[in-house]
Order: sequence, then structure tokens, then C-alpha cells
Amino acid sequence: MSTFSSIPIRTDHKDLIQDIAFDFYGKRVATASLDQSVRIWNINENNEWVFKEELRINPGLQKVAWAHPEFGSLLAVAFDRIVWIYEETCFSNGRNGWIKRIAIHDSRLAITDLKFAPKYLGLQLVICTQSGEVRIYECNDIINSNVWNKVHPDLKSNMSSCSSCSWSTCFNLPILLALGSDETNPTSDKLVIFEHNENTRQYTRIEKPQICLDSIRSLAFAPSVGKLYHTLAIASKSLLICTIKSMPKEPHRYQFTTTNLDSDASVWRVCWNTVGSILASAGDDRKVKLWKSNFSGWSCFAEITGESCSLLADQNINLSCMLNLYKDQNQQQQHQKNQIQFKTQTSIHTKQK
Amino acid sequence: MAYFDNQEYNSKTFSYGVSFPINSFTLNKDGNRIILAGRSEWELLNIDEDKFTSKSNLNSNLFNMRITDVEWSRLDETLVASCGSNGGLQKLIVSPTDLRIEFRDSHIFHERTINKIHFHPNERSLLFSGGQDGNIKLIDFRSNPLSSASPIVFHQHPDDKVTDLQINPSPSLSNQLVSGSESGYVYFWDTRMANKYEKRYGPFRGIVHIDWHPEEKNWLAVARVDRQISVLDTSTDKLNTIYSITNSESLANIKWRPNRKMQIGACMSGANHYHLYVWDLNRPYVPYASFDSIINKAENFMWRNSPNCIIASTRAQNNRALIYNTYISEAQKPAEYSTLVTVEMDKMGSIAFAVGVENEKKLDSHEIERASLNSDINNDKFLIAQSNLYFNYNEPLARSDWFYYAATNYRFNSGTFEELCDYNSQVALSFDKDFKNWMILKTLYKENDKYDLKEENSSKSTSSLSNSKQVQSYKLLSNENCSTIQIPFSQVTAIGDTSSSDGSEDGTSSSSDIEFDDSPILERNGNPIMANLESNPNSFKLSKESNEKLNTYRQNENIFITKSNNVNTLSQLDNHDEQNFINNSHMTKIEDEEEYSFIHYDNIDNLCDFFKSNHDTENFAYHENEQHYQNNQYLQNNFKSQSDLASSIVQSTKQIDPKDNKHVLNNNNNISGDVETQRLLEDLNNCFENQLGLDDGLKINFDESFCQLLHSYIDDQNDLVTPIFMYLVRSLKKMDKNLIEANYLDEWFVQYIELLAKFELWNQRIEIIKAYRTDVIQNLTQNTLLYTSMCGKCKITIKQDSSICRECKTNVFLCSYCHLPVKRLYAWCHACYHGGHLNHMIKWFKTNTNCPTGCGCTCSPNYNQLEQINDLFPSQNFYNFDSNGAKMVIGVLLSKTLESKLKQKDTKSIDDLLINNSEHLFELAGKKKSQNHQIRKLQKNFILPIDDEKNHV
Repeated sequence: MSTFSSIPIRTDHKDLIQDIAFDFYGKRVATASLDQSVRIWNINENNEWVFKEELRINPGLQKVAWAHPEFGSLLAVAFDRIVWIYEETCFSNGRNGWIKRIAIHDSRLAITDLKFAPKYLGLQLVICTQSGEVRIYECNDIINSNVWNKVHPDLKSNMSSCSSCSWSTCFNLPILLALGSDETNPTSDKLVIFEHNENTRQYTRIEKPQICLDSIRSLAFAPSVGKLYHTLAIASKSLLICTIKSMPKEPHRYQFTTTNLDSDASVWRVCWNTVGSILASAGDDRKVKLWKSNFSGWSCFAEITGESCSLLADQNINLSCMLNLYKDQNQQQQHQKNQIQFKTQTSIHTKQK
Repeated sequence: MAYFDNQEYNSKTFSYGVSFPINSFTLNKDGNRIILAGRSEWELLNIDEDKFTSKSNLNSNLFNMRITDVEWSRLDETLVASCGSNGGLQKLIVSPTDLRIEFRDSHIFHERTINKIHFHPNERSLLFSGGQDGNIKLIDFRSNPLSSASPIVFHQHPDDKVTDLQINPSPSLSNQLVSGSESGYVYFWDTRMANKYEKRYGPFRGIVHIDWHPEEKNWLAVARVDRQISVLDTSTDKLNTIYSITNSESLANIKWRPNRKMQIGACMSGANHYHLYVWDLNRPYVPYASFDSIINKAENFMWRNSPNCIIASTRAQNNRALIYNTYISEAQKPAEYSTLVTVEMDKMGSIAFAVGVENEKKLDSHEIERASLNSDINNDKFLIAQSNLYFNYNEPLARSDWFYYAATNYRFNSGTFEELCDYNSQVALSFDKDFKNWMILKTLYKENDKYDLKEENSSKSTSSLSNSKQVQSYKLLSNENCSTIQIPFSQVTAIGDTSSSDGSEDGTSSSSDIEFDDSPILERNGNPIMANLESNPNSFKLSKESNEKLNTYRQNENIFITKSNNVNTLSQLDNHDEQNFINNSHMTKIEDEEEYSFIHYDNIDNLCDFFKSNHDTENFAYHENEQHYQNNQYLQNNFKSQSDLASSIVQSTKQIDPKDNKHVLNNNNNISGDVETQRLLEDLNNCFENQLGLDDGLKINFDESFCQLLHSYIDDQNDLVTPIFMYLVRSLKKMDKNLIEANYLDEWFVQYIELLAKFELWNQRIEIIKAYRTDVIQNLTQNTLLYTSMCGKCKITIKQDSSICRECKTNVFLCSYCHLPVKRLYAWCHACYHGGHLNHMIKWFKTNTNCPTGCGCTCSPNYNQLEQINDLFPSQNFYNFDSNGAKMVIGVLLSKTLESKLKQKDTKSIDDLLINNSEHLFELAGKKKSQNHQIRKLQKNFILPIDDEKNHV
């Protein structure tokens, strides 16, 4: 177990950051804060994050999601009961900017999560709300991103509050949509999974055992990277990892295997790395834990903490400064590592002489 | 006025429906009675424990007006004032059960609608009224009849409609009257001086409401048309905005929360949304409490003499409205739903995470102020919080460097099977990855077909062949200048050793082909690189050191066998081909295994000493005997099936992999590492022991285990690149088409292609798409990559791999500048579809704006943009990686929409360019549709064929 700490970056956000989203290429990052703004950062040639644009929105819970670049530069921002679709365009003065395309608002209560569907389904967006409504919107004409239609009747999640959603990533299996609930009622179903039928374009709820009893804060399907089964990370009081294997011949058609990871603290967020080998979880203890699977199961191999000191405004740490610092550190470490290797090899050499 | 926190209302929210829209309502001093004012009626309600009870109803139809405001005198329980749109005032007299109008007629005080009436807080009889006519009047309300009252008039401005007014509730400043106007001015009056306002501030954007802070005598909250609540400090001459809260909808009403210095309630309504929030000034972005879930469409509200109870009225629907009595304890606290920590990883595995940090400093002062204000402090904490955003780059295990490295460096074409295996194993080795499987793959399938006919000598010759090929691959490496590739010297030795140790008695002779440099590791730019092994290609001799080293390794191998097998003496040698082969693969693995664990030893000196001492006592012959013994053993106990052996290989390699990491992690602990190695070796040996005593099978088919190996990469190691490349390299040899189920393959390739796009490895992506042509992949990739072209004369589509029209037999891609066929970048105009060589277009448009064909189109592309495109694709034969010599002609768009993309330079290749801009492409075509319907036809037929050179030669 190793512990890393990181230096904060000055974001100028005046309240809690609710969501961070990298775009498909990892060249942009959007941070959504309670201070009614979404900030978009671009990475420059020196791997520094440069503030690009601030989108002023309204108060409310906020989530951001980037669409797949095949559909253009689209950013969906959810705040309170409205989803704004932003698109990057080129203005007449030659500059780039983000403009609001359309507001989707027909939800009764605040939106808790939104995710773009896998690109195989087209440009689709799922929105789930505090009232338990789950709706899927689709933009049929990607040239005209102003028109979004509801594609299905509401999914019957039977949840009184839906907190999180996630799409499965396998290409060759029916797409699954997992929904998590943050209800406190212990008897209600906290995790609901829908299966998408490619032919009828309908979603059917799949039968599954009671996997999680505590309220779920976040869900994330692992990137499939070639696996023909699904792996779902569930952030709840503890961290759960659930493998969902498709068993077409079995009566329930899916086989669930759940692993409970000892995370010490209640988990708020989970996310996977690109190749699905590392799981990162952020918990109540304000640490980011990194989990890795090996033969003895999942284990936490690193913890990342922010500095405990508060008052970000006093620390005028420049983004670029910080990055340079990291680069230096990295280089030094790399250099040392190389030297050690070099030494060991030469030592063999000399010994044998 | 004293409010008490402990005045608890234990009951739940309750409501009462009335059949008129509630324009205004007012509470009596004790907060137990309420008068609702509708369009033309009043209703008196009692507020009981858990319900409203209607007491009296009064109609005002005879006044012919709409009631705009109603106010209950704080000093006189029986007195209520009401005003209307006709500018008149009504005096209502309230008895405990009844409501009546004092006068049947109302006196008109204002020329236009009265917006607001306000009782003087200290003078029983005085009432202020502010109207649309821009006047404020101070009326002696008790005068009987009302018409006899002669009001004092405060002239604001005839055009500046009074929207709200209020006397400062502070006893010391009770002469201070403040009024807000529609044009955005805040007027300060001294009630004793009516002729002119004392001060005027503004303009802000339209004042909707004003509210004096109940305790802070200088704080004035102003609700503005632009959805802002500003808290102004009136103590200074210059009004300072000390707090500001931005709302999502236009504000309807604001009221300070009693006993909470920093909190203010706000009611707002918009086109679709109605909110009733309680804000905390310390945290102006998140409402402290939201009543949205309780009250649907709240339009107006009032604190019911308590900081915890709210009376709110809703917007009327079908002339029905509701009045609510609700409690703050039932309201939602949005901050509780906020996320304190959030984390996200980017494609390279950098971790971005934001952690909420409470601002403790502010909390303290806030708490202290509150405490001084009230002894009975509430417990609800509402803290200002910020998030720190972190980017963490130096978490090596989370990073996807290996994917990037492997995807860029592995090869599956440009070489024979053996070369590719060698090359790829080097790639894996240079990243400290598991390279053994490549060697096994090579061994298993190398010369597989002719194996039975081979003699011992021929196997020797193949080994030397492979050696020379290795050298070739090293050449490849150094030629490519892959500066990051790193091959420790000892490993090179091991590989040379491996290929030479296949049952031959003379290790020296077979490995003497390689000349080892004494100092093969160079340091350049902090990256170790492999020295040029071919630096002395003509002097083939084995240096002493490497010979010694070779022996050391053999020694090591001996130790392993002795320990685990208790070998006693030598047996006779029978070099059957198959045994030889098995031995070969076995050795390969052992050697590699040994090597692998060896590199990670920290305390390498000890190990060396150990080896050396062994080396001194042992002799070379013993080692040979060992080998003979081994061979014999395998001869005696033939394998039942070869797949068992192979699966054991796979198994053992699988076992090794997770432990590799342990080695890295435990490398400080050399003792445990030692034990680990021993255990590993034993495991490995056991695998082979299990094979002993099994029956023979001469047909070698490793396909099943090969499959298993690929699956194990995917499932256990999350490594997609290696199996993809193993499959592609394997497919160079004769292979069963259904070796791996198609749905698995599709999944692998789809995901891999997607990942390549993510990492912007466009060339690699095209290569893979070309190598694995199935319908699935084509469907997924083609529509974004390729555009069919069309002959302008014959109006027929051109085949993808050609640029010649079937009908007229002419090349479609003629440069309109030089009239020669374009083979590389074809740049064309969106409007007229004329174009040509990129460099010619640059040349032409440097001085011209019209189309070079003279068609009259003003193409006028941005000249700089063209140059940028040229910079982006400067290399000759940008896509020329295919050995068949086929090239790809690339269309470059001349639209202005691309300009910005190019400025950003985030478009690194034409693929990206097209993917990102396909919509612009169509957009433009759509816009031009009306002018030229031809274009519509061509809409989908943009040109990007794969250009076959045969057509031009």
C-alpha cells in the first residue's frame, strides 16, 4: 500500500465541484461546480490544463457528460431539472465557443445523473432524476443537435429516487443500463438493470438477486476491452464489484457474482481506467483509492490524498507550475530507476569478471 | 418583535384550497390568522394546529378593481388595509370571526394601481402606499372617513413606478423609508421630509422587492429583475453590495428569515419552474433549503413569525390556488445531495479528483455571530465549502502507457512469422512485460509443418537462423530509433542462450554467432537504449564474459533441476525430434522464467556470488548430463497429448504473471523474492512433472491452448493489444478460420479500434481495420472514414479502390491547376467541387480567390488554413504503409468551419478531421441546397477513395 498526495489546482470554482468529465480523447476536462458554472479546460502542448471557457448555468445539482466525438463536440450539462446541450461552434470572428443548443426540461425533480449511450445506439442520452424517473432522449439528426426526442416511454424503475446510471460497454452483448437508487428504505430494490433489445429497441428489466442493500451513490461499468461479460462497480456504503455474465440458456439469463471490497469508508464515486484494469473510488474519508485485481482478488494498492489544508484561494498555485513539478519528479524518479537498473547490471558484469 | 426558535410546530405541512387566485395575503401579529386577497375577494382564515379554517368571506365586486395588496396592522389587531388596481384603499375591520369593510366606498388616492401598502411600524394610524404613478403617500388611515385624510406625498418621479417600500424596522432609524422603483432606483426618504428623497441609488435593473434586515439596521435586501438578490450596506454613502445571490428564475418575493442573520427566503417563478428557496448568504450558490418537493408552484410566501414555519401560496390553476403552512424541517436541503468527492480518470490513467474542503475560518465567525445574536442557537450546519481539484499523474500502475506503447510498437506485418515473434517479444521485454509467450508462440508454430522430417542438425541451423534474425530485429530497432526500448544485457544473453541450448552438446558453437558488446547499455537523455548489436557484424566470437554468463545460467538451471527432481546420475541420450522440440520449448521457458525473476532481484550481488560459487564447483559436463537425463525422462514418459503440454505452458505463464508484480513490489525484500522464485520454479516443474507418465501423441495442435492464452490475456490481465497482435501474427501461419469464435474476435477488434481512436493512433487504426476486414468492422468504421466519389460528367459513383470513371474512362481526380491526376491530398471546394493538389491549390489561392477552372465560383479558401493543412500532412505517402503499394487519396476540406479546428491543431490526421467535421460537411451542403440542387445529389459523395496506383500507371 502506497500513499500519494497531490497538490491542488486553482480552479476558481467557488463551491463544491460536483462532477469532472474528460472528453473522449482526454484533451478536455469539464468541471461542474455548485457555484452555477461549468468550466472547460483544454490541455496544451506541454500537458498543462488551460482554462478555456466558463459556462454560466443555474443553481442545482450538476453533472456533465461529453458525447462521443463522432457526434460532434457536444456537452450535456444537467442542473436542477434541466439538461442543456452545448455544442462547440466557430463564431464569425474565427473563435471557438460553446453555445447552448437546446434545453431538455420535463423532469419533475432535480436531475441526478446523465450519461450518453454507447455510440452503437446513436446519439442517445439517459437522464435520471430524484423522483425516480428515467428517460432516454435521442437526437436522430446529428447535424441538427437542436432536436431531441424522447425515444421510449419512461423506464419503469420502480424507484422513488434514482441516483446514478451507467451503460455497459460490450459491443457484442445486449447493452445493459444499470440504475442505482439512493433511497434509504432498506427493503426497496437499490439496483435495477435493464437490457436493451436491438430488434424491438425496447428495454426489459432483468431479474437479478438482491445485490446491494445500501443506497447507491454511483455506478460504473468497466470498459470491456474485449471481455464478453460485464463488470459493474457499485459505490455504496462499501465498494462492490459485480460481474454479470450472460447465460442465454439459463432461466435467468444472467449470472451475477458480487465481490465486496473493504473500503473503510462510504464510497461516493467510482471510475475505471481506460483498459479496465484499475478502479478508482472516492470516499467519505476524502481519499481516492485505487484498486487492482489479481489472483487473490481485488486489493487496494494506492491511496491518493489531497492536502489537508483548506483555503484554496490562498494558494496561488499555477497549474503549469504544478505540472512542471510533477514532470520534474517523474523525470527524477525515472532517472533514479534507470540508474539503479544500470548499476545492477554493471554489478553483475563486474562480479563475473 | 421577538421570535422564538423553540416555538415548535410539530405538525406536518398542511394546505387549504381557495377558489380564487391568491394575489396577496397577510398575517396578523400573532401569526394565527391570515387574510387572503384574491382578485376581488378577501377570505379570513384561522391557522390551527394542523389545518386552516375559513372564518369569513368578503366580496369587493362593487369597487370594480383588482386587489393588489393587503396588509394587517401590527399594532391594531382589528385593522387591515387593502389596495387595488384602481388606486383606491379599503379599510377592513376584523373581528375574531368576521371581516367587514368599514366604508362601502373606497377613496382613490393614486391615479394608477397601488402596488404596495405598508403600515408604519410605530405609528398606529399611518399607512404608506406606493403606486404606479410614481408617488408614495403617507395616509392617516384612521381618519374617518378615509377621504378626509390628506396624504403627505413623496414624489418619486412620475415615470418611476413604485414597486415596493418599507420603513426601516430598526427603532433608531424608524424615519428611514426606502422605496424601490421599476426603473431600478432605490430611494431613501426621511419620513419627515416629503419634498425630496434623501438619497437615490441606482439604477440597478428593476427592483422587484426590498426587505430590511430585521436585526442589521443597515442591511437592505433588494430583489432585482435580473434574478439577483443584492444585500446592500446602507451605512455608507455609497451603497455597497455586500452579498449577492443569483437565482435561476425571476424573483417574486424575498423575506429575511427571522433569527437567522445570514438567511433569506426567496420565491421565484419562471416559464416552467417555481422555486421557494431559503438562501444562506455565506454560500450563495446552493439554496440552504428548497421547498420544491413540498409546494408545487409556490408564488408568494411569508415567515409565520418563526424561523421554521412558512406560509406560502401557490399559483392559481383553473382559478384554484392553495395556501400552505409548512416547516423548514420538511424542506429538502440540496447541499446534502451534493457530492463531496468526485474522481475521474482520463485515457492515460491520470486521475483527476475534487475534494470538498470546508472553509472553517468562515464557519467560526459565522457561528460566533449567530451565537451572539441568539442564545438558543439551532443545530443545522450549513457550511461554505469549496473543492480542491487535483490532477495526479504519477500513479504508474493506473496508467495505460503499456497500451500506447504496445499499440505503437507491436507489429503484425512487414516480416515473417518468426521475425515478428522475435520483434514483438523484444517490444514486450523492453517494457518489462511478459515476453515469454511470444517466444513460446514462435517455438510452437515455428516450422510446425515440416517438423517431423527435421533432423537434429537442422534444428541447430534454425536456432542459428533465429539468432541472425534476432540481430536483424535489433537492427530494426536501432534503425527505427526507438529510443525508449531497453534491453538489459543479461536478457540478451538469455535469449541467445535459449535458442542455442536446444539439446546441443556444444553451447558455445551455436551461440557464437553473436558478438556481444561489453557495455551494451547506453544512457541517452535519461532513457537507456539498446546498443547496436550489429556494430561488429564480422567478428563472430563469443566474449569470455558472456560465455561465463551463459554457463552461469546453465548452472542456475542445474540447481533448479537438482533441487526439485533429486537427479542422481546421467542417463543416455536419445535425441528424438519431438523430445528435442519439447526440450527446446521447456528450456526456453525455464530460461526465460529464470531470467525474469532474476532481473528483479535487488540484492543481485548475493545471487551472483551464489551462482559463481556453484559455477566453480560444478563442471560443464554435469550440466550436459542433466540435459540428457531430462531428455531421457521425456522420452520414457511421452505426453498423452500435446495440448496438455501447451496448456501447462499457458498455465505456468499465467501463474507467473501476477507474481511479476509482486516481484516489483517486493523487490526490497530479497529473501522473500528468493523464496518466491523457488516456489515459482517448483510450480513450473510440477506442471511438467504432471505431464510425465502420459501417453504419446504425435499430432501437434496447440490451437486450443493458444486460444486459452489469448483469453487469459483479456480476462486476467486486461491486455487487449497482445492477443490482438498474437492473433494477427498467428494468422500469418496456416490457421483454422474458426480458431477463435467470431463474436469474441469482433468484440476484441471493435474495442481495440475504438481504443486506438481514443489514443488518436489513426494510422494503426487503419492498419488494423485493413487487416481485419469483417462486416462488423466495416459497418462501424466505413461510414465515418470513407466517402464514395462520383463522376461529375456521367453521374455514376466511382468504385472505392479506383479513381477512373467506368463510363468515360477518365480520372475523376484531376487537378484543376495542372490537369494531372491527384494521388495524394486532394483539396476541393465545397461549392463547386473543383480542386486539385494541395500545393497547387495553395499556390493558386495565394493570389486568387476564384476557382482555377474558371467556373465562376468564389472558392476563396482561407489561405493560411491551406498552409496549415499542408503542415499537418507534410509527409510524403502519409498513408502509405501497405506493402501492396496502395495509397489513400485524402480529401481536405476547404470550408471555413475547419479553420478553428486547425488552429487548435487538435486534428492530427485526416481521419480525425473527417470524423470531427462530417457534420459541417453536410451542413454546408445542406445550406447550398437551394442554390444548386446538384450539390444535394453529391452530398454524400465526397471524395475519399483508396487510390489504386495500377489505374494510373
